[in-house]
Amino acid sequence: MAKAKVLAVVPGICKGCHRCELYCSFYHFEIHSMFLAGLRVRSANVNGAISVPSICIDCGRCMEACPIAGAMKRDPKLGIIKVTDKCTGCGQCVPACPFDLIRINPDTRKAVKCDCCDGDPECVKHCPYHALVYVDVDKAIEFTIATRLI
Amino acid sequence: MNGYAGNILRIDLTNRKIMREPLDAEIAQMFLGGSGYGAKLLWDELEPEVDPLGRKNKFIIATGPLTGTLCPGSDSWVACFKSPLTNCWGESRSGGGLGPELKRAGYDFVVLEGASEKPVYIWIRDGEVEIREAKHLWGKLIPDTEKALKREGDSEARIASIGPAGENLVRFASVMSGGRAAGRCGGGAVLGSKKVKAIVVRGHGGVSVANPEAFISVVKEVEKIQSKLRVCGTGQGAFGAGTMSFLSFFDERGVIPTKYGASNCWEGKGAEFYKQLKDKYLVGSGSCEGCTMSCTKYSRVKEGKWRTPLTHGPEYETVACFGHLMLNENVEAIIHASYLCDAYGMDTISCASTIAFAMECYDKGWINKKDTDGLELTWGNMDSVKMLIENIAKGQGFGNLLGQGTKRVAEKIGGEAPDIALHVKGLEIPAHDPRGHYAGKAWHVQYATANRGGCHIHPQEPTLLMSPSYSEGLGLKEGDWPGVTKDPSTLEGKVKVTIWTQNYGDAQESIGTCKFHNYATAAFNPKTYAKLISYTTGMSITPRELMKIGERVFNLQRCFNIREGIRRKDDSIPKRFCMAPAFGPFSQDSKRATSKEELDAMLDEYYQARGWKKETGIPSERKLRELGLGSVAEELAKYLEEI
Repeated sequence: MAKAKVLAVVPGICKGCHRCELYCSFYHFEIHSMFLAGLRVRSANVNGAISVPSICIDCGRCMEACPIAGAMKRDPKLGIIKVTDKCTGCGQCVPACPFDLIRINPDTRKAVKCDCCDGDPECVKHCPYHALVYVDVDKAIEFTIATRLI
Repeated sequence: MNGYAGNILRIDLTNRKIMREPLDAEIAQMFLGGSGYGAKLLWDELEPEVDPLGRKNKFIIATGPLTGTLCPGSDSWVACFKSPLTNCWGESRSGGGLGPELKRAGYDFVVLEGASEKPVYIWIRDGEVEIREAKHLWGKLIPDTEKALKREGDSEARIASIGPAGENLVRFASVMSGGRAAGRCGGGAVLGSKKVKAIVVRGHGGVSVANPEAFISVVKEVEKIQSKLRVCGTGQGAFGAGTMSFLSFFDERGVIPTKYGASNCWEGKGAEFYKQLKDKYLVGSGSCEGCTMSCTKYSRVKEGKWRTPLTHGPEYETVACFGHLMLNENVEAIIHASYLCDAYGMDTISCASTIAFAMECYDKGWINKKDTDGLELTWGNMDSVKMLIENIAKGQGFGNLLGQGTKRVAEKIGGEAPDIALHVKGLEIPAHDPRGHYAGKAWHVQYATANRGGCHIHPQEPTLLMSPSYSEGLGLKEGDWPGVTKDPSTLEGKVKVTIWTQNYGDAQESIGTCKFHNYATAAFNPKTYAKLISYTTGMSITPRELMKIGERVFNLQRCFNIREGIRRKDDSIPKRFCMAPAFGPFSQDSKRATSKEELDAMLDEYYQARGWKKETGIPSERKLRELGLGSVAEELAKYLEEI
């Protein structure tokens, strides 16, 4: 089995253009919406002089909080937790996410969570500045440690 | 309605009434949105000759069909109003995230009418709209206002706000949004007169498109072209270190008005400013929403007399106006001045230009220390400039007079002062001197005829088509596109180019995208935009139709101006730009001077090509009907009969 890959942020590069969020929601729901994106760019200081993408690190707290068996499942191939059709949109995963990345889609009544676009993340492909990468877990460590410290 | 949120939010501040109206699909088809739709609303709803700072003026925040989409540079909103600076058409475009957020909240336009008695701010959160008290915010600087509003509302809300300058009705007050400015024409004063401190928006919806697959494939094509350029995707946009990278080569070409337009360059200073800024003061770059260029730059001055906290910019215009125009060599003072203008909420171009004008009058002895409250207004005296910026914003003493803008100050001083003033229709000229530009005399036509007055970017720079990279990139062919002339000093082709770029520019103002993407690459042109709009809205628009929409918008705004009394006599340019530079390397170059006859000849040609009446500059009925503006033609004829 190939090593699991994860999303990681290259520190200090993000310019805060939010294109990753727009691509994410467009890929999944064919709509330009920050609300329905599986990641979020957070900005601070004088109107976004510092911007950092906040990504799902697959910590599993959403799955722990989920009351419905099988509504959230770990994809055996990609290793990431995915929302299944069994999700009822009860919303218990929303406050459980430490990075505030999960939303309930008001149209489908299902949780919206990063699914790494089935192994080919749109956010990584389309970041104009290459601030996001999709790499082996071992390689990601250096990036994620730096990101979490910010 | 794909591409549109489908709603207009109308707020009557006098009666504190909030109304939602559906977007008119027919008007959207004719004008798209943004400045075009805004012009239609103001033409229909504003009486002629209302006081721009009175209750009857309206303030419109407009977005376009591409605003908030993945189309690069789609973070745009346009403020439309009657300008207190020029008393005619006023509009100002900005980024900063307000436009996309407004669409996500479910509105394409916000129309503010009437005036509140007490300071208020508008709170929009999806369907929830409130007029809230803003007593505690009144008088606050922009950064403090934004901080306070984010704290009491939503930390991720997007805000457009005015500073003390807008509150004190400074005629060139800006509306600031996320550090970006809708600076020109004095929209801040219009909001100030309505006692609206800020508009706070938070939206959780989205912008959908009619044909997602086709839309995204065009976006990807554009991205592919852009990714090959060093100006995109590197944080180095627009051309290295943001707009300030223009400084060195504009100075070399003679494009920067120096010593209040006496010359067109200050030898070597542009390069020096750029080097200093880049090496010492720039600390990072950022981006508007959805942009691939990141031309936003941040700077700060760590210590010393001009200590400045982290601030946006300074942009090219600001450096050139607070540097070259007033013969100031101190870069730290420029950054500080830029910060002050942003914090107080003033247009840096108009503010610097008005101060430089006062300096020239002081130098010539037309005003003295008695008039300036004891301030020594010698060239480059930045201590006085700092004091003046604050006084202008607060409406104190001599600053109160300068806050009326160059045109009114010149009239007050009288004598020869109006002859040297650098403004058209009341709007101060930016740092683009026609005597050195690629497009040369096309700039005269642009300055004279632009609807909002002396402006380089509205509707569009004529340089766009003159720049070899753009025209080659477009594969320009004679007849297909306006001819590109190589010699800036001749009259040949200048009018054609100006008209084409003006129409294109107004189309872009209506689409809801940033014009800056044009300069980086020819990836964007009428063909690309026509495709993007068609796929977004589901309407079928050809490049030719898009240009027609631009022409329609330009003509409607002209009609608005005609109704406000603008005629051919107002389509003038500052006398200084007709003379050869008084000093500097280009002073011997007689080619750079333009005679009155030449200007008249260009205007004749321009009016004829536009289908306007030569003697008055009024659009002909035939032209208006051809553009589908029959009702406008009728109303205009009725108005002209009455006066």
